[in-house]
This record gives sequence, structure tokens and C-alpha cells, in this order.
Amino acid sequence: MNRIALKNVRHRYADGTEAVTGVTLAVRRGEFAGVLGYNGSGKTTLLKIMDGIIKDFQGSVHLDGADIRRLSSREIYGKMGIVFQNPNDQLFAPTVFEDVAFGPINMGFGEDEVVKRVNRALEAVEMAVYAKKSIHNLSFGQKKRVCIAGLLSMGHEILLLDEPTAGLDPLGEYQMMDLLMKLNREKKVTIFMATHSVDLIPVFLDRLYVLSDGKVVSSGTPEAVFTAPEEMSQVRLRLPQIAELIYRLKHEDELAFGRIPLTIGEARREIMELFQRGNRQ
Amino acid sequence: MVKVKSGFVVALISGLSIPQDAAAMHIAEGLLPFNWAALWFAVALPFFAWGLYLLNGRSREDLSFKPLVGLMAAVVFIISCMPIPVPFAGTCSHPCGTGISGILVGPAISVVITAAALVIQALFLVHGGLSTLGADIVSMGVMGSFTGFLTFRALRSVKVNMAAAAFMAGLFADWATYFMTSVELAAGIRGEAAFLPLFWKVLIAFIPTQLPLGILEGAMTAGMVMLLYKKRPDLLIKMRVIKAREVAVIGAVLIALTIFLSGVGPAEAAKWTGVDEAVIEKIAKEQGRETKDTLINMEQGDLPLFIFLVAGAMGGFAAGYYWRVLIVEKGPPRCRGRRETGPETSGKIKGS
Amino acid sequence: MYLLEYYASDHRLSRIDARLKLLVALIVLVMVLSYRGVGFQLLVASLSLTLIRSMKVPWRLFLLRFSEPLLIVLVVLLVKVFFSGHDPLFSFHVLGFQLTAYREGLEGGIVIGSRIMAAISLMAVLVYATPFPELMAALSWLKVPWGFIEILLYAYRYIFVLFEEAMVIYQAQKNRLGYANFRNRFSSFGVLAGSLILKAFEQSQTLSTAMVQRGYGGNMPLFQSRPLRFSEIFLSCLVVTAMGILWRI
Ligand SMILES: Nc1ncnc2c1ncn2[C@@H]1O[C@H](COP(=O)(O)OP(=O)(O)O)[C@@H](O)[C@H]1O
Ligand SMILES: [Mg+2]
Repeated sequence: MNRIALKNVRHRYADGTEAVTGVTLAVRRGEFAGVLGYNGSGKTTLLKIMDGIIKDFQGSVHLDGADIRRLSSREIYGKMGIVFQNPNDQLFAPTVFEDVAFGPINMGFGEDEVVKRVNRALEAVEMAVYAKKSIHNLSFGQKKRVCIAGLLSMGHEILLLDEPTAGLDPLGEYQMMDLLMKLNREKKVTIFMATHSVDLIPVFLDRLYVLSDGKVVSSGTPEAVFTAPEEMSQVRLRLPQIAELIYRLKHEDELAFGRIPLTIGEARREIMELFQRGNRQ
Repeated sequence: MVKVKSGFVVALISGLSIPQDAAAMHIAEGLLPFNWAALWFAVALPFFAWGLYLLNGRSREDLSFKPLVGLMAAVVFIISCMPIPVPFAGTCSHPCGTGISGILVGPAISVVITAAALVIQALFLVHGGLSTLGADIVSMGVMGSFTGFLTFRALRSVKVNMAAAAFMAGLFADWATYFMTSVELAAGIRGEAAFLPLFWKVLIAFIPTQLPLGILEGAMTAGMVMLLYKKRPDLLIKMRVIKAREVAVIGAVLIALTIFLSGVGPAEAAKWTGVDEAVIEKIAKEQGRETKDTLINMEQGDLPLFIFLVAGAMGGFAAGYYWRVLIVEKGPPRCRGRRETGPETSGKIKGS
Repeated sequence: MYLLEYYASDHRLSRIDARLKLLVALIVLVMVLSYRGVGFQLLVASLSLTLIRSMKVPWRLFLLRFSEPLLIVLVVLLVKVFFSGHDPLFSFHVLGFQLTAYREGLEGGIVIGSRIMAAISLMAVLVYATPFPELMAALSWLKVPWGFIEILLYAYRYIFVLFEEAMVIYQAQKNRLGYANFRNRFSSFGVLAGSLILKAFEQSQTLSTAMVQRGYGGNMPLFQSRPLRFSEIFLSCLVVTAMGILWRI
């Protein structure tokens, strides 16, 4: 069931920085998981290791049971691809269409198949109308979508995303996460993303790992991870704001909340319940 | 995006309105008659082919090499869009960046880089042209890169320190380009006139701009090499610019650089102070605030500077570069081996 | 940075295959360069300018693009008129100098000037009517080595990225009083240019990783272009023949 499994992975950069110091984690088939951590906690490094870009790490990484260091880049990149944080790092063709077509052409498909794949991928990220546009005339969020389409057109089953919502406006963040969730639910793409935006995660992710100083400090469902603000601030993070509010109401103002909700919807239900109980009393 | 657009528009306006800078290195589309244009293409071709051959070889070893070369072409393009005042001539000019690319990737591949930058400039900026591409490749690409590279290597091999070697490389690259452009212009325009006198006149006409510009290019090349050396010595080693053991000796180098920079016409600098003070004042006010501004900032006190530059450029332009036309004979240049037609030449040349 | 782009997305000319447009433009360019008079040049220039006008390129962009060559033409003309020739047209005094205009100078200046104008407006038509990628594909069809076209593709794409980067660095320097005085201006510029080179290095690294991920093996693939239509070929031949006849007259 595990598509990617990391065991005791460590990595030290050439200048001596220990970016990842012993990470063990697993990404299961079809799940929408992620790693959460402050800037510099080692998320990007971890993703690069998982994607086979960094090869001189210690420990082991297995992709579908095979040691990633034994796999050729063709074998890895036939299944899995990474979306970098900065879209300019990976969009190199002059127009949207050509960029998305790059992968399928390299895979050796005929022209009709390439066009079909490109169109399908662009539709999946809602960018079909921009196919002819020059890359440099796109907005930041649109560029990010093109990056994803470039990998989808190759038929990837696993997507690694580095901070997919960074740099987007509030609505853009939400739409991006929504898009990823759709890919995950409808197209059965396994997704593993790195992020530091605590407010979005509980709404979308199935499971997450909290990274601090190159180590996984806690993991599990969002409910299991976001429990107390103190623990979070120890790793330079915080609870989602709504959770923080309810937490304070519960512990400082001693309102009788049962559990700490993580999303607006859950919070609303909890509050309504509390009122109703209160009214009855 | 809007910001970038307006930025580039202004950069372009400044590039476009300062003809001397464009003319100083690039030969305008249509300026050379067919046979000369073709000849320079033929001269450029072997160097270009050699560069491309090396490029293909190196990119097989290192997949990031071709993207790197493409990006260097973009850098060369951008550098030559940035106008810099040349105080001696009262004009504005731009460095060409061929010296540095020659040093970094070797002269032959640098010819390819220059050619790529030139094609894009010719197509989209009307700097130079497709028909004069050959001539421009020879003067900027071949002469600039090879001179820069050879100067750097020669000086390094006799243990001249890196900044000084880079400075000389940039200087000579620039001057070699200027020399070659003069040859091309004199030869292409002379018509029936003798080559040498015309060549000397063109060469002399260039001097007020090109001598200081060469120093500037040298200073810039030295600055770039030293920045790379400080920040990413591993890259210089990888590009085979320096050997691993050399990454230890440094220090007086920067002082030499500073001395050179301070030598760049402090007297002339006085001319600019008035303008600069206005700029400083404005900027001091703006400090800490993210301003939306551009290479030449129209609103913020750069306007007088800008106008000054344009005015200077116009004056220098008329008196300088194009005075080669003084010497041209009354008839238009002859074109050997072709039908000589055209209303105003018919009487004179047809029989020859 | 829209100055660098093709404009005529809905003009009839942009429906013609880029390969033919490029070929025709180059042939006419050779005619222009090897023509010894004025008539053909003026014809080419005015045809080209008419086409550009019909593409509805805004005047501002148009003038920006042509300001440099126009200035060059003007200066060539002025200098030749006043400094070259024997046969005086008229003369006048200005600031104590006697300026005399010569007939031969005028003719010579017009010849060079018209050649520049013709060549430049011709190439402008091509660039305004052809999207960049198509132009590149056309170059490869003309047997320009693909390795070089790849370099052009990267350069074109990353000019925009690096320019943005340059603007950020420039602003950062300026906010800290870089460029404030004369000497400072040069050293700041050196740092700016050096940072761009650094950025180019780093960007090329990430770029190639991203490309390898998507199956890059050392060559950008070329997307097949559609076959040429007979009507296009016919039209191009017609244009070339017509121009050729005019050129010989
Ligand atoms: N190429 C590199 N060389 C040396 N150190 C690096 C390099 N890349 C990242 N680091 C360091 O590794 C640590 C983790 O970085 P990164 O994985 O980028 O963190 P994150 O993505 O969580 O912000 C940081 O301390 C960073 O400074
Ligand atoms: Mg990161």
C-alpha cells in the first residue's frame, strides 16, 4: 500500500548544513498527505530526496518497493514528479502548450496523443483557454497550474508539491487546494505536499507530518497533530486560527467545548451544539 | 506584470533614444550592402560552428549546460539594454558582456551566446539586424570573446591577480570589438574611397565613447568575476576558470579594483553631482518603502539626468559615429558582380 | 514587456505559415540590400508600413520601435547633405559656421537612409506577424541548427525572468543608495550584472532538474508543423516574383 517509504533518511549539504536529520515516513496509495514545517525546516530538501533529485543521502527511500537509488530517472519520472515552489524554475518553453507538451513528446507519443494529453491536462487544471499564451504573460497562480499540468500530461500517479499555495492570494490558495483535492479524489493522484500554511491543511489533507529541524516531530491526521498551541509554537508553528480561538475559549474562558475543531464548518457545529446544550440547561 | 512592462518600456525608451549606444556596437539593419553583409556571415560561420560543436559536446556531459548557455544569452541581452553614462563623451553607452561570457564558458561557446543575444535584439529591439548579424557576430562575438578569454588566460598564466586579469579582459574585449566594428563600417561604407583613411576617421570618431566604455566594461567584468569568486567559487572551478588550489589567494585584489574604479574620471563626475543630489534626496525620502520604479525613473529626479543623457547622445552621435559618411564618395557604394542599377547610379557605374 | 511581441494575432498575415513568411522576408531583404537606388527601397518601406498600420499596431509602440532607425536615417542624411559632395544646393550661416548642402550628399544619404528604412520595416512586418515559437520553428526549417534555436528559446523565455530579477536587485540597491554617486554607479552595476550571472547559473541547475524529470535527454523536442497549403505557397511565389520584377526595373 505504501507508494513511497522513507526510512531514517538524513542529508547533509556540501557546506555542512544538516537539512534532514533522520526522517521516517510513508506515503500511501491514493492519499493526500503532506509535510508541515517552518521555513528552513528541511521540507524542500525532503521532497528533493523523495523525488530522486538528491541522491547522496543516508538511509533509504523506496518507491513502490524499489530502492530509489537503483531506479533510472526514466523509471522514477514515469510515475512521479515534483512541482517546485517557484514556477519559473520549471517552465522553460515559450508558450503554455509547448511547455505542457514537453513531457509527452519526450515519452515518445505521436502528435495526436500529445495534443490529447496536453488538452486533458490543461482542462484538469482549468487552463485550457490559455494554451496559446506566452508563459511570461501568465499570473503567478496560472504559472503554478501550468507546472502541474506539465506533470499531469505525463500521466503521473504521484505528485510532490513544494509549497503549492505560497505566493497566492487567499482565494487563489483555496482554489489551488481545491484543484489538488479534485486531482486526488477524481483522478486518483497520490499527493504529497510541503507547506507552512496551517489554516488550509486541516480542510484538505488526510495525513500530515510535522517537520522541525530536519526531524519529524509528530504525525497523523490533522486532528491528532493540532492539539495544543504550546506544542505547535515549539516548532515555530501555530494552530489554525479557528482552533486557537476555540482552544482559548475552552481552556481560558472554560466554555464546555468537547473537542477542538480545526475548520470553520466544524467550529460552527461545535458552537451551535454548545449553545443548544446551554439553552437547554 | 504591469510593473515589469513599464520597466522594460522605459529601459527600451532609454535604449532607443540613445542611438550612439546602439550604434557603438551594433551595425543597424540595412546599413551594410549585400556583399559585405555576406562576407561577414562567412567570416563568422566557422567560429559559430565551432562553438556549436563544443556546446553540443559539453551539453552531453552536463544536461544543465545548454540551459545555462541560454540563460547567459539572456543575461548578455539584459546587460546590453542597460544604459550607462560615459562622462567623457557626455553620452550613454552599454557594456556588451562578451568578455565575461568568454571567460566563463570559453570563447567559442561565447560566440554562440552573443549570436543568440544578437538575434533576439535584432528581431525585437531593432538593435542591429538580421542582415548585419554576421558583422555583429564577428565584432562582438568573435573579437570580444576571444580577446577577453585570451587576455584573461594569458594574464592568469603569469600570475596576475584575478580582478586585474578580468579587468584587462573586459577592457580589451571592448576595444577589440570597437576596432572590428570600425573595420566593418569603413569597409562596408567606403564605396570608391580608400579604406585606410576612412578607417582611421571612424576609429578616431569612436574614441571619446569607446575609451572610457572599455574601462567601464573592464571594471564591470572584474566586479562580476570577483562576485562569483566570493559567492560561488565552486562554479568558477566547475567552469574551469580557476583551479581548486587558487581558491585561497585574495585580498589586495579588491583594492586594485577600487583604485581602478576611483580612477574613472572623478573630475568629470562633478558634472553629474547636481543631478545626483536630487536623486539622493528623493531616494532618502523613499528609503524603506517599496517603490515601483524603473531603470530610468522619470518621476524621481532622473528625468534631468535622462534628458541630459539624450541631449549628450544626440550631440555625440552627430559629431562622432556617423562622420565616416564625410568621406564617402558622391556615388553610392559599388556592388561587384551584381547588376548595377538604380536611378542615380545608372550613368556612372553601368559601364564598369 | 509587450514590445517584444508579435501583434497581429487576428491579421490575415498571421494565418500564413511562418516558414513562408520568413523565407519571403529574407529574399526581399536580400533584394533590398543589393539594390543600388531608392525606388525599390521606398516601395518596400511603404508596403511594409502599410501592412504594419493594417495590423493596428498602436502608434506609440510603432514609434518606439522606429525611433532609433529613424534617428540614424536622419543623422546619416544630415551629415551627408552637409559634408559630402561638390555641387552646392544652398548654404546658410549658423553660429558662425558656414553650412553648405550638397546635392550628391543628399542623394547618397537618401540611398543609405532608404535602405535602412526598407530593411527595418520589412523585418518589423515579419516580427509583428509571427509568434516567437513559430518563428523559431521556421528558422529550424531553414536549417539553422536546432542546438542554436534551443539556446534562443531559453534566452527568450528567461529574459523576462532575469529582467524581473534585475529590477528587484536594482531597486534593492537603489533603496540603499547604490547608484547614488558616480563611482557607486559603476560598482553597483557590476554587482547587479554579477548577480544576474549567478542567478543564471542557479536557475539553469533547477531548470535542468525539472527538465530531466520530464524526460529531457539533451535536446528539446520540436513540435511538428503542419504541411504548407498550396494557396500559401502560391501567394508567396507571387509576392517574390512581383518583388523580383520590381527589383530589376
Ligand atoms: N543547496 C544548499 N546548500 C546548503 N544548505 C542548504 C541548501 N539548500 C538548503 N539548505 C539549508 O538546509 C536547510 C533546509 O532547507 P529547505 O529544505 O530549503 O527548508 P524549507 O523548504 O523547509 O524552507 C536550511 O537551513 C537551508 O539553509
Ligand atoms: Mg522550501
